[in-house]
Amino acid sequence: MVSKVVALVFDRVTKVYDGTSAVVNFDMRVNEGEIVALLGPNGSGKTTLMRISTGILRPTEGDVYIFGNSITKEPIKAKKYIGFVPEEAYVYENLSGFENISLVADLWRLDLREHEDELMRLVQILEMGQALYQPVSTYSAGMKRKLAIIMALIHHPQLLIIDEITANLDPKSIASLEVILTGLKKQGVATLFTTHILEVAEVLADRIVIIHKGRKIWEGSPRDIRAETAEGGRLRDLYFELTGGPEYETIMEFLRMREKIGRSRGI
Amino acid sequence: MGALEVYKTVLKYDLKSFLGYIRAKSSRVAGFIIGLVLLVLYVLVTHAVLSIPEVKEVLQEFQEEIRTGIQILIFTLMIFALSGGFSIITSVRKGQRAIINLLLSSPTNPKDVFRTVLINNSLAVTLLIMIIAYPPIIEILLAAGFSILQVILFSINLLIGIIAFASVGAALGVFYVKLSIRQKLVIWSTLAIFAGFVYVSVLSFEPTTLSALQHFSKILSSVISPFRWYSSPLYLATNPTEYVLLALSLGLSVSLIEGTSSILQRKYITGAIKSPEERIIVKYTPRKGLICRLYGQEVRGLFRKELRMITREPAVVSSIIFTYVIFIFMLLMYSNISVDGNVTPEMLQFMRAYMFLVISSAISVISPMTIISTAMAMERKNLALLLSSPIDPTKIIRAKSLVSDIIVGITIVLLIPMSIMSLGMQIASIIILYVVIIALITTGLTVNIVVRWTDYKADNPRRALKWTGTIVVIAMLFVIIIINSFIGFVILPALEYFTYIIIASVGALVGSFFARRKLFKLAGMYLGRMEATEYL
Repeated sequence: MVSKVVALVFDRVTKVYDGTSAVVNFDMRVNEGEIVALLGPNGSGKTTLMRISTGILRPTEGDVYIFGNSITKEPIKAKKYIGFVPEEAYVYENLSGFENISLVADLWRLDLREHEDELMRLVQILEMGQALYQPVSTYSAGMKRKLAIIMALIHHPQLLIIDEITANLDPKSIASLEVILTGLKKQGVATLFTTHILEVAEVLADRIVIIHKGRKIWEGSPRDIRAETAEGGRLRDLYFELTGGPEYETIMEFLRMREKIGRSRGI
Repeated sequence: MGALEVYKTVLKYDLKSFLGYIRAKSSRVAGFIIGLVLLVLYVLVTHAVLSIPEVKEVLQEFQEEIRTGIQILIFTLMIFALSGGFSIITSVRKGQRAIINLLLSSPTNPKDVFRTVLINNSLAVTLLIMIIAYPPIIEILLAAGFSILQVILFSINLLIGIIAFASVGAALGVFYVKLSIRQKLVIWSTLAIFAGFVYVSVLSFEPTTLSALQHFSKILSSVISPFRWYSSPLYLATNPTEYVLLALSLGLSVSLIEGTSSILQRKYITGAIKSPEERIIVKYTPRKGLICRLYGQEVRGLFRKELRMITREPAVVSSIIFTYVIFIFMLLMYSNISVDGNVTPEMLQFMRAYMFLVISSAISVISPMTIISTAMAMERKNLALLLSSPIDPTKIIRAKSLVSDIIVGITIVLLIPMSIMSLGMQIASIIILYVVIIALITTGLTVNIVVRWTDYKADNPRRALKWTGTIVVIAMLFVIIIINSFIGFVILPALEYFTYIIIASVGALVGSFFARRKLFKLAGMYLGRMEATEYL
């Protein structure tokens, strides 16, 4: 029996796509009021885990529990708690931003009138302005992402799942989102996010999980990083140590080659 | 990079991308090979038929008629080229903006980029037209006694013209995609009504329509008509001044390509930025409504979304309007059908009833098929939003079918007075009950077919149904045709058993209602089990 204070549990989750393992035997918990960052190189399985936790992908083995409800066995109960912000916004291009939000309100059975003030503040914070009533097809990638954030927050989720937290957002919106998440944490909302910007994870997360080739290879708090790396070590050092850093020698070779060819072409 | 170099580079990578697309699936390779074999057969058969001495003799007799009548063919081909160029931009190769931007960011002349994009798109259309039209045209002209030089000149001149008209179509397509939804809707609705009217007018063989067509044909073959210019090589032996017309046609082709590419460049590079006002107002009027009371808030929300999506997709709206214009005209025509000769009043009544049955059942079958399949394919990656929300997937199916239910409902409401007035109460009630039953079952089956065999990653939602799905749909239509015949030939003439027929029909109606509910659940279960990799 999974405790109710645990917002999200990955219970030995394995996902195999056509014989290729994307995630292997993955275990993780996110508690109420906790912010967890999931880090890993491209193709390490982060997005697969996000999709499994929102119920749009089935695990090959294991299960995910949202506030004690299995996402595979009781999907409707489990999904009620989740607010999901995908990397590429899932929004209807032919509808306006507001119509997309009303759809979410209907799907979560909300009376949008009760959330009108809240929505107005969110629109103001994320600087959506009157664009809210324009068709989404006219939006920039950043505007679509902001809309996806509003759609995820409007139904008061207890668990926020955000794929690539900084994707397409301007610095002001990232800062606003950080403040919102910190505030929601105090209200007991759990957040799981992925990012490639390690500084964001360091600042925002209570706990960091690093995965590589579908397996969890490290888990700890930002304080643990300092303990595990050399003096003054940062997440970046630990991350490169675990997943491999840049190919410095190849980079130098490339730069030398370019210089040589450029010289011969007289550039 | 020079203009030719840009062109060669883009063509090379377009061809590579096309071959990559074909190679990606073995079914596409098979289709491609079958297509090539069919093409060779087509050319051989055309050649064989038109090489028969008797056929040649007849064609030679009609050489003058061919020369003076070929402008209509040229006009038709140019219209095909124009619409082909348009649709290749608006529906087949939608993601061209990225390629244009990539080319524009390279060190090339922007005008070369636009000319290349237009010509390359046009080439795809031209190739298709050439495959279909060129073998018979060339064979007929040669068989009719035109010289090889004339035929070669004519073919090349026509080819350049087709490329030019397809370029105009492609440029119109680029402008079209930038229009607002409302503007697109107005254009498509007007075109659909006009097309429906033309279709029915031609079908009716009215004398006024025929005389209008003759008049139009005369204009096409006059010297001022550009379509006459394109046929000038066929007149070269008879009149040397035709060289002027030949030069005019070439000039027209080149100026169309140059003109459209420079207009396109100017429009594209200038761009437009919409700056929305910063005033924030949240306007929300909650409406419970009947659907909310019957099926709940989630279905109400989904239904409103479906309705907005469908009505904002101009191609779907126009196809619905077009279908309705044709069917309403046909219903009116057949309900007043009169036949001379030995046809008894009973026979005439039977013919009316049968045509009414066929047309009305076709409307109630085509609407769910078109609407549900398009609505499902339009979801694409947004299925992730719906399937990650806390709702039973059957509700998604129900909302999608509700839109088509409403349209079928309106159809039935229209059919009731029309059928009663034209066929009498008894036959009308049998037909109406049958139409409702067939609409219920079709909707249930369509959602299952569509959920299983839609390619959710397809660019064009109207072409997203996979081959297997299309075959199943055809099989379903075939079964409906058989049932139609059974109802028409066995049930309708047996009116002496009217009470029994009505009781059986009501029973079938109740049964089909529950069968549809079961089918919805089945489709919902399938949808719920779908993996994100199928649509993301």
